[in-house]
Amino acid sequence: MISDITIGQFMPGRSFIHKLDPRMKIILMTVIIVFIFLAKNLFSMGAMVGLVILTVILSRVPLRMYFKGLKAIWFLVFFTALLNMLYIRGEHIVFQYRSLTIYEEALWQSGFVAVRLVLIVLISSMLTYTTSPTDLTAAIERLLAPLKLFRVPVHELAMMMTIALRFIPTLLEETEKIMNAQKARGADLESGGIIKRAKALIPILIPLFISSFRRAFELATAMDCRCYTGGKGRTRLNVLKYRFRDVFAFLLMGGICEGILYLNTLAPSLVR
Amino acid sequence: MGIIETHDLRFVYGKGTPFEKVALDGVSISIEQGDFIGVIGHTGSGKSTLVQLLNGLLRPASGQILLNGSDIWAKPKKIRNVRFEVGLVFQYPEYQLFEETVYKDIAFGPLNKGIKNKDELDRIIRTAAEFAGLKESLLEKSPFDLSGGEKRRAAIAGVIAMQPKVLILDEPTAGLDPRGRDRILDRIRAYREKTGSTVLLVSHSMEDIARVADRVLVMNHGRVEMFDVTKNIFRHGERLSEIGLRVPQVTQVFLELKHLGADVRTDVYTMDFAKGVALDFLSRHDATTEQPDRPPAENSSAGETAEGGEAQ
Repeated sequence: MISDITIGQFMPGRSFIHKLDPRMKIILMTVIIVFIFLAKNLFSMGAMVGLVILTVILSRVPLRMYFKGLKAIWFLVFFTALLNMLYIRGEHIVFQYRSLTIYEEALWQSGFVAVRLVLIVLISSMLTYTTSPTDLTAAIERLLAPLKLFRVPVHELAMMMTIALRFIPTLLEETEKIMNAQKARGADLESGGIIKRAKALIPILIPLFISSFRRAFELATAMDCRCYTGGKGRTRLNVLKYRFRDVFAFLLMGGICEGILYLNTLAPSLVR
Repeated sequence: MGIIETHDLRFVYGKGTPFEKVALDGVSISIEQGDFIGVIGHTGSGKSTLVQLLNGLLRPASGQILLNGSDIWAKPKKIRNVRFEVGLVFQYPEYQLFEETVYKDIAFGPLNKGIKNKDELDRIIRTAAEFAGLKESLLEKSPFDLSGGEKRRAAIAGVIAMQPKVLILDEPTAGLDPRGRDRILDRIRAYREKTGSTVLLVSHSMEDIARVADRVLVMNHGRVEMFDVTKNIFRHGERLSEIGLRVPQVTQVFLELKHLGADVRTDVYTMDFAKGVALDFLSRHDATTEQPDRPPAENSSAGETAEGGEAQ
């Protein structure tokens, strides 16, 4: 069903992670992703897995939601792992059958790739689950603010993102409505070959496009009516502030990073 | 046996999630061939869910829907056939228009139904357009160039063109001006008289329901509150306002008159009938009070009050 899509879904809560400053969350997430790639042996990768699982538990978002997010990339994970396994060459042969050779290095590599992908999806869905779209875009706007020096329209980009996120559920609802209306007129969306199915989408896409344009014009008028003129001189209702817990999380992360680098030296790298 | 019967219908939104909500519970109704039924209820009472269940867009959690005596979910793969038999016009149906011309858009339903013969198709489309009150000249126009009321009638024609045995309209007059509203109601009434089909009209407007429906189904919190002929329903003014509804304004006027001590009937819910009752009352009133020198102007002003009530 259409309602299963969870992109950008925010789960309100009061956990430690929910309360962190969104800017800090974005910074820490970026650091974690970088270190997911820096972890080269079982010790350091194990530590990263532990760290991600710990944050997932700390976020107190139902685990079911994370599984839903993973379900969407299951195939991608499997496929990249498979390709890595078949194409990477090394020294130690594990298995050979005619022209198919699998090396020990390839096995490690594909395992690491799979784990990395899963961790990245987990940590980034944690960010969207625990941060409201408004907070998220406000944070992005602040973090990208230095780019204004190079005439990048940071505020406008952030506003576009807010609007896009805001309209995802609306558009899903609208799509469902139009689908029902056409089904009531006997539209057959479930059977037939690929061409027939693509054709069956036309009665849904055209009304959807038209109503999106209508909505866009209405929104533009509504913003005009409230004298919106872009980011210049605009102040925020809730100004973002770093608090003690943000500093604490930052320092803790610094320590963890040191630890990971140290763990990396304990055993030889398994992957490149 | 009715054309549509439901037995103990139950429907739940978001089953198995924290947002689970029972939208319908224990709904058992029977609709006869040729009935004109008004469906009323406050927002969230389950009206829209009920009509989507009746044409198989939603599948009940439990209970049965019988169309001509057979369970519509007996063969889930054939559910599309039910949608041709029970035509459903959604709220704001003008957003479903998509073709280049009104003619092609009306053809969408019959083509899906499998009508291939060109002459037959043409006949069906033109009849449907006529029923919906669309001028011939509009048929070759783009649906996006029509006015709001015309768009809505074009969309209704698109459903009528499937030649359904039962026509369901979910708030067909919402957001239209009084003239647009009157035209749509007149067309629906004429359609039903000519074809003898069964019609269900969901509406928030008691006036609309009073004007066209023979029987009224009142929904409240997912259950059937009342299901009776229109006259009997509007006798329960108090109960209706308890569940967030009201009686038509003209009925309100007569209830108020009664309250003030006038000896009038209170089962009045259409303007034509109100006129008769009011005139009858006034003539009796004049006869009993025996005031021959009474100025006639007072009579007409009383009549205007009653009419003013409905016009609001």
